[in-house]
Amino acid sequence: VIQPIDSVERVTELATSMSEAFLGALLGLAPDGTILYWNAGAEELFGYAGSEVIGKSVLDTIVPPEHVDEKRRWLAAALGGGSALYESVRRRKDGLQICVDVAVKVARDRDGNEYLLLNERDITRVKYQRDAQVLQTRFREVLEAAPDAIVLVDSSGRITLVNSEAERLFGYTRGELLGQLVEELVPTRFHGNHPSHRANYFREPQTRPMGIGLELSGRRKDGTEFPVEISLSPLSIENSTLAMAAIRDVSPRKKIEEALKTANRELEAFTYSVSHDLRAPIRQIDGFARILSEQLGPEIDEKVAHYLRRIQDGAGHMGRLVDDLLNLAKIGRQDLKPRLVGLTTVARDAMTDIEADTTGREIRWQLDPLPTIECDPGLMKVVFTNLLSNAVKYTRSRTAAVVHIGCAVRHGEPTIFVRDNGVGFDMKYADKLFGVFQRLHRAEEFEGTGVGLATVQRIVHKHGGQIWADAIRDQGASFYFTLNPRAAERTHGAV
Amino acid sequence: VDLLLAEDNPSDAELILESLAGLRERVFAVEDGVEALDFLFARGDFADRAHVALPRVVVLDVKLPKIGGFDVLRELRADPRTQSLPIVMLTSSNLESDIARGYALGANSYVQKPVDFDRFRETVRLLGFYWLTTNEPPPVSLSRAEGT
Repeated sequence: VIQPIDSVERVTELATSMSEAFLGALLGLAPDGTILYWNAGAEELFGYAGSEVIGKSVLDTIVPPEHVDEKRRWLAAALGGGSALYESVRRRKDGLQICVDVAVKVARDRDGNEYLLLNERDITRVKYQRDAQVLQTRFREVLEAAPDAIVLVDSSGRITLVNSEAERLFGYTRGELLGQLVEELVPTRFHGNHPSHRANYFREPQTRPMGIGLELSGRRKDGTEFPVEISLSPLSIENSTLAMAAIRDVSPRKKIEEALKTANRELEAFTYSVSHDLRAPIRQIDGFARILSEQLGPEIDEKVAHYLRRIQDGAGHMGRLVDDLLNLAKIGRQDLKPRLVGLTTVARDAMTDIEADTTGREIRWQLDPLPTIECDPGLMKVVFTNLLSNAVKYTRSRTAAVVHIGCAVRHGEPTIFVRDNGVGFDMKYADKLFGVFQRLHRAEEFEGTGVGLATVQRIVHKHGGQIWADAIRDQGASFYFTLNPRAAERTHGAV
Repeated sequence: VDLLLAEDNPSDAELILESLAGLRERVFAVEDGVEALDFLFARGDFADRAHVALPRVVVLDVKLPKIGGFDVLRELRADPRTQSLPIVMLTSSNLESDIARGYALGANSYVQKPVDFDRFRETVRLLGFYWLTTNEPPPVSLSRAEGT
């Protein structure tokens, strides 16, 4: 049953509810912009209660300073023509800017006074979607070619364009993102400062990484977070500046870094345990074998003496292995302390140490002047000691051994070499030369643990250099290495 | 007792005693950190030592059961009765971190047990003779008087 409307008041009431429901914000203004009427829709849209704004000018409240002149022109145009339709920008009480669609009509009261009646509707999302269509036709190919998620943001903090990678990474569709504040993609706990950070960026826009030294996180649509790296660049389009954020998900790298840290911790625990516990039983084997042979005295059976010697040899070898391995592990962990070092001095020091153990042998040393290079002198001494003692060891069968230490420029880089006239090795096995425990000679021929060259290689690599060798069987071997600690810092910096 | 040896590994203890040859009678060996502290503070099984002088030196392994060598060292340095008692860390490890820690906690000496038995025997022999015959121990008034 349709109830007839029976009073003017009720009709007015009903009409008011209808206009509230369908028209959104309704404002009544004096010709100078003073607010006279402010409905519930306006309260909702702009965040101001009627009591806060009635009597004030729209120009001091919801019109952003940079749009005041434009607003004046529109009001004048409406007053002149009786009505106007336009789009503009408003600032809400919380500072957020929104886009509105405005319809103005001029009304007169009985006394002939003019008023402006405005109906404003929020078209922010619609406008950004529309603008994105235009931008997208221009930038689509560039954006989609980028490996990173790309999000373009305007100075009001709203997302103006995204690429497919951004949709995938954050789990939103393009339509859901356009026109949203970029904070939508930022974890809630960072929301407090984010608007002021982005305001700062627009004050001085330049290409730079975001949040240097900070751990940044992105937030997906489902609320989950992930670690990101972000680089920002300004992008000028027509007469406005956009910030282009290239966002990279670094969780795979973080995972690897975590795994590496764990592995390093485990290795350290292992090294500690080896250092403490593995030496004791070796010493005990050696010690009791020694005591036993002393107990047996000089009348000892030839075979028994031989076996005891074998036990002690084994223990001794094991002891050297443990020491060399611990040394190799230590060099791996130790930080480079590079300074300018004259390599001639380092090589001569190593040479002097080794000469002490070569009495009775004829060795012709040739030490050419070596360059002064930025490197860790302690570790370089280890390199020379290993290379020179190898040269001495593998020339043992020569009546006159020759060991030549020199420097040649190769591909524009100083290359240090250690050359000998010893037994050399078969180049077929050259790739095994620097592996841990890899030996190219039988233990009876040449003693060794197979750790020395691995240690040398590790030091050279830590210095950003290369090491290689060439040799001819029975005619000698040459070892070459380069150093480049600056490159080492660049590539091995963190780990 | 002039030398207290805290060494949990019976084989190492035997090799150390073997190497100390002529000084053996003056050595007492314990097997963990608790025993070492009880011995020095005359507690528990060693309560009867209350009026006996402290040894001239304590030789501590780093890895001891129950209370580790560094913790024993810390407790000895914290007590006025033993704060100037000569303490030697004798251990297999030559890790810089261990050596630094030993000195930071107030050890008087840090000696790595050589793996080679000849060198081991010589090292332990020298150590024993140095601390028991060459070194002048702190005066009794400094070490025991305050505690009793």
